[in-house]
Amino acid sequence: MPEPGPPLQAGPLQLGLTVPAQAEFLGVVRLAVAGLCHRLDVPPDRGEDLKMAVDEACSYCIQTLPALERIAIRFEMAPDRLCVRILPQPPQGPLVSSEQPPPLGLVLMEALIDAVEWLENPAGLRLTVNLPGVP
Amino acid sequence: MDIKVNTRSVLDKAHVVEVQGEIDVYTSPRVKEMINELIEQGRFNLIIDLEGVRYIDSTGLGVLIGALKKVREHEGRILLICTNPQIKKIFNITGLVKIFEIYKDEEEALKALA
Repeated sequence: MPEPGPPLQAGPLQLGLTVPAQAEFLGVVRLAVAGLCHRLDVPPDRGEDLKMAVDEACSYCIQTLPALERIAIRFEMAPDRLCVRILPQPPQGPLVSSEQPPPLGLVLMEALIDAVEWLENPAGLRLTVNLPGVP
Repeated sequence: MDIKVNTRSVLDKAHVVEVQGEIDVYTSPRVKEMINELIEQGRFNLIIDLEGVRYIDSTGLGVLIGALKKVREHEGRILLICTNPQIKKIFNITGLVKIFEIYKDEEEALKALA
């Protein structure tokens, strides 16, 4: 399977998961996020928020990208945050249109977590949850 | 991933739709189908019990919003039963808490219908 993008920056923990771009695999993605958050002692409410944000991002890709085959999900844990990159496979063009209002799922995603970045090369999203207790 | 949807009539006042599982892009068509069947049968007062729902995404919210629009065309109501804090939080964030009636149990929902 091809590497979905440039390597992640060095960090204490990196994990990857690639799933077929089919709605029935969203449950697997949610389980993976929940399991990782539990393992990393992410506060439960923050973990639930991230789980939903990742699910919404993947759902958005599945529903809007017709040539989508797989979704690569890359987790990067830093001491003060957990970042998740969502990378459609094969790489797609721009994922969002500024001419149309964002769907409810994207609004939710942006409300639930600390940062949503739309990546251009390769196209994707980076979701970040800041972890408490770190200055 | 599973979803279970059961429906039953209560005191001839309303129909209860009990949903168990996770409502997402994959499972929401099943929930939509069951609710739409009831509406097509002329059941316009629905109590949707989300107590068994562990997760709901924007697609699931869309199903509920669509159902609410349909029953309101017939002066019907949709009452939700939900105590899960995470799900209630989603209703708050989206502002849906202002358009849905949300109760803690069936008894309270039935009282509201009386």
